[in-house]
Parts: sequence; structure tokens; C-alpha cells
Amino acid sequence: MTDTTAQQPIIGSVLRASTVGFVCGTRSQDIVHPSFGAFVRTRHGQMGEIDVIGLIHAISIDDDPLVRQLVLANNMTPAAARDQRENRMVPVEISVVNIGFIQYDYIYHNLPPRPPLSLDPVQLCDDETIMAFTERLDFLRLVLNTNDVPTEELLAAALLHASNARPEAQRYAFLVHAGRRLAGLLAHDPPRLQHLLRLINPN
Amino acid sequence: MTLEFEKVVPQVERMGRAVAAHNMTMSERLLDAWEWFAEMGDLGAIHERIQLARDRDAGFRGAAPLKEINEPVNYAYPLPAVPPRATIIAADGSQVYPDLHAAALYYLTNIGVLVYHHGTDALPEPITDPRLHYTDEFLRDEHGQMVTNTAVNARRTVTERQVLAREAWDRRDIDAPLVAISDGPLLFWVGNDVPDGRRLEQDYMGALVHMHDTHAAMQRDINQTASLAGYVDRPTSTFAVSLIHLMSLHNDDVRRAILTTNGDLEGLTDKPLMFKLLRPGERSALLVQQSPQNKNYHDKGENYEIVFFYLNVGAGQDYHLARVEIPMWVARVPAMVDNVHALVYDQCQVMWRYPYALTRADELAVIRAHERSQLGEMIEIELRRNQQAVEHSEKLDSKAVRHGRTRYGQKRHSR
Repeated sequence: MTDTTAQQPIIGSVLRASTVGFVCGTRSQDIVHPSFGAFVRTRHGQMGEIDVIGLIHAISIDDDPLVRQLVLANNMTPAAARDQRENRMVPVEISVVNIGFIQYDYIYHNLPPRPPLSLDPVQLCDDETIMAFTERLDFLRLVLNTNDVPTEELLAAALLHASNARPEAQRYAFLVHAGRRLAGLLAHDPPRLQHLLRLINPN
Repeated sequence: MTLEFEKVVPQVERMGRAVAAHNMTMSERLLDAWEWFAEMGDLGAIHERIQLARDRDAGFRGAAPLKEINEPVNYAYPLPAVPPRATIIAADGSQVYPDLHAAALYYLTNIGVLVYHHGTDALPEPITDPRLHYTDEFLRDEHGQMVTNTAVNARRTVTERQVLAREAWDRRDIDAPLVAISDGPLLFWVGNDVPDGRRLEQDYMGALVHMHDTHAAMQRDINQTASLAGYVDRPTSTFAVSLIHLMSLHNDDVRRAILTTNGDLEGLTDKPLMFKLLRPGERSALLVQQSPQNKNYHDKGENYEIVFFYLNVGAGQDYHLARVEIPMWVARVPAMVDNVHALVYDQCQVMWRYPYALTRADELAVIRAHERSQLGEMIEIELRRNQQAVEHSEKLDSKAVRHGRTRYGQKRHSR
């Protein structure tokens, strides 16, 4: 499970973290890979340490006085744009909500006992890891109970990522199965359920 | 003790009234100056009057029109077409001054350079050149006294020009005109408080010669040019006003006692005058500042006398003045002046009022407070690794306590 993950591109390094989530920083030209709802994992060098699994719920670019002035001047050249994006340290922050962790190659579907450490590299999960992690859908409840994130959109994006990680023949069944689990979890809130089901509707 | 604003407020009010009164006086002086300026179309008369001031050693420090080019001084010169391709190299510098209260005595200069390939999508090249100085050769003068901040500034300026010249030389094969821009005036001189002043002035001139060599090599090998420009943002100079004052005098009054000030125009700078003259994109005539320093440059070689023009770098209704200084080897060639004029203005449009490449060079050079502190910590660690005692001064430590800065886990006197 971890062999192919090691080949996945590093999308950033942990800036700050807690047991419920973390923020990783990257340079602006490196935001080609991460996308909203994608599965990521932190990488820890030592065996037995925890690799946290999470979902990207926000990607933000900080305000920058120089960029602000360039925008106001409204006379941007292609060279200046490349200079800003590729040479300058304009940090992009990727916010992640924790949904599980891996320890000794075992997957746990609950919050990690310890947060990742500053500067731990963060990678996109490979298809194999996503499939293994989403064999059980316990993380759905965790995300539904998370504050300050667009829960329905995040879950829908994550489930579509998980579906795409599977062979085409299994995708429909996976989404139907996920829909059923959501129906159980959101039985008390039909409008929210309906919205979520529309977002992941395989048809 | 914090600032007691109730004591400051009346002073701020008095200041506001004083500034308003001063500006009203300046507006009246500007009208007088403008009337004189409008009459100054006869270049022969201007040259004659300046020669008279020279003959009488009257200490005239204003501007003179450039003889070889003969541009009327009261005209505005339109924005030329920007060359389709050019290499713009901008350099700026920053420093950490020596601090007697730090754990070790040292200073650091950092030069930032941005190479901007105008007219292409090529990625600009950021370059930094940090230099740490910690030996007595750099830190002490001949009397063993620690060097002043002025000396560090002077050395940084020389390094800045040397790095600029080096980067220009390394790009002399690029088949496009090259413009090297530095922040600030091109005239450089040092006072007696700089221990190695004469050597620095020689090194500085060496950098100008290196730039000129780049130009000569580019002309010879690829038929291109290399220009040098010093960019002075928001100038407060009075060179044109001094010239107007000189022209307003009777022949008998052209003497040192009278030229010590600008007479009725005293206090007026060139800036409002140029705002009346120049629309956005336009430049003033090429002018030469009359000063012993510039004469010294001229005496070292005619190519190195410094010429300048004012440039309104604003756009639309927006006015913003800069003074652009160029050496004589650039000023003598209209195509090179046009390149500097057009490219500096174009750069200012990218960034709004200030050249983009210089903005980035400044950003690359600047040493922020946290970087300064990190450098100090690195030096402390290295000293400890070499079994050197590290002591902080009482003053520095008390400052850290007063401003709430503490060093976690670090004792004041430790080995």
C-alpha cells in the first residue's frame, strides 16, 4: 500500500497541526496537484510513527502587498507574472481535515492520537491507499460532524475522488454504497441528504 | 513612558498651519520660476552665463544643458517607442550594521539583482550576493575604531555597482539592448569618516568602467548597446531651479555670495516645475549637474561624467517624478537615451510608479528583522561550536526584556 504512495508528488510541508486537522504550505507554482476533497497523507520517516490521512477542504493564497500593487497597476507582463509565481515565495496554504491515520501499515478510521509534526511532507494518496482507506466509510460521520468546513461539498468531492480511484466497474457500486451510508447518517436531515446525494449521483 | 498625545496635538496643529503657509509661498515662487523658465530657450545665452559663473568660480551647483546634444531646457521630450526586446538588470543592496552589543562583531551586505528579459516570456532571474565581514580589516579603521554605518553604506554601494557590472558583463552575448539600473544617484563620493574612501571611489569608478567595457564589447561583437542608469525616486533636487536663479541675475551678480542660495526661489525644488512641464511619459532635457564631484568624474574620463533627466513616470492624470542619471557614454547616443527613457517608463507602468525590476531587486536584497535575528543566532551557535564565549550586552538584553523578546532556553552568559 505504501510503495506507490512514496512515488506520489509532495504537495507541501506541514505548517501547523492539531489532532483534528493541519495546514500545509507550498509555493504557488506547486498547486497543480492538490484539489478540493483530495485524500492526502503526511509522511513520517520512522516506522511506528503516525501517517495522518486527511481531506483537503481549503486552498488559500495569502494577501501580498507586491501582488496587490501589481493588480492595481493593471499592466502585468507575462514575465512579471512568471516571476511572481515561480521565483517569489508566495505561500499557498492547504487546509486539511483529519479523517484517520496509518500506523504499522494498519489503517485507523478515527482521529490520530498525535498531530503530524511541522515540516512533515504531505503527499496525495495513491489510488491503492484511497481504496484501502475507503473500504470502510467510517470517516463520513467524522466529516459530517466537522465544523467550519463545507461538509456536504467536501464529502461529495472526497467520495468522487474515492470512486475514481477504483476500477470503472466498481465505481457505481461504491457510490451507491456510500449513498446508503449517508442516508443512514442523515436520516434526520432530509434536505442535507438530498443535496449530498445529488452531488454524488453517478448517473 | 508612552507618547503623551495631549502634548503633541497642539504641535501637530501648528505644523499643519506652517506647512500650508510654506506651500502657499512655494506656489508663488513656482509661478515666478515658471515665467523665467519659459524664457530660457536660448541655449547660447545659458552656456555663456554658466561659463561666466565658472570663470568667476562662483560656486554654481545647478544644471547645465548638455553641449553635445543641445536640447532646449524648457522643452518636454516625448516617450519614445519601447524596444521590442531588452535585457534589464536591476540591483539594490541592504545591510546588517556592526553592533557593539551583539555577541560578535560583524557586518553583512546583501545585494539583490533581478534580470528581466523585456519583450519575452522568459522567467526573470533572481540573484543574491550576501557577504559577511568579520575581520579587523573590514571592521576597524587605522586607529582601531569600529567602522561607522556610513562606511558600511559606502562599501555596500560599491559592491552593488560591481555586482551590477558583473551581471551585465555575463550577459553581453544576449542579442538585445541591455539596460542596467541601480537605485539612487550614480555620483558617488565618500567623506573622511570612511576609512578606505579613496580606494572605494576607485573601485566604484572601476565598476563604471566595467559597465562601459560591456557596452564596448556588445557594440563590437553583436552591434548592441549596454546602458547604465541610476533611478532616483521622488527627487528633491534643485538643479533646474538653480539654473533659473542664475539666469535671472544681472551679470554683476554672478558671484559666490549670491549663488550660495537660490535667492527669491530658495526652498523651491525642481519637482513642481517639472510637473508643470512634463506630461506622463515625457522627459526633460538632458542636463549635467555642476559640482566638484561631477567635474572629478569628467576629469577621470569624459565618458563618466554624470548626466540626468527628469521623467514623469505617472500614467493618465497621475504625476510622479523620477530623476534618471546616466553616464556620458549613454547620454551621447540618442538611441541609448531613448532605450533608457522608454524602458524605465515601461517598467514603472508594470509596478505603478517604480520600476518592477528594482522593486524585486530591493525585495531580494532586504534583510528582514527575523532574518537578522536568525543570522545572529547562527553566528552564536557557530561560536559556541568553536568553544568561544558568547556574551550579550546588558543593553541588548534589557531591550529584549522591555520589548517582550526573549530567547527561549538561553542563558545570558553561557559557553
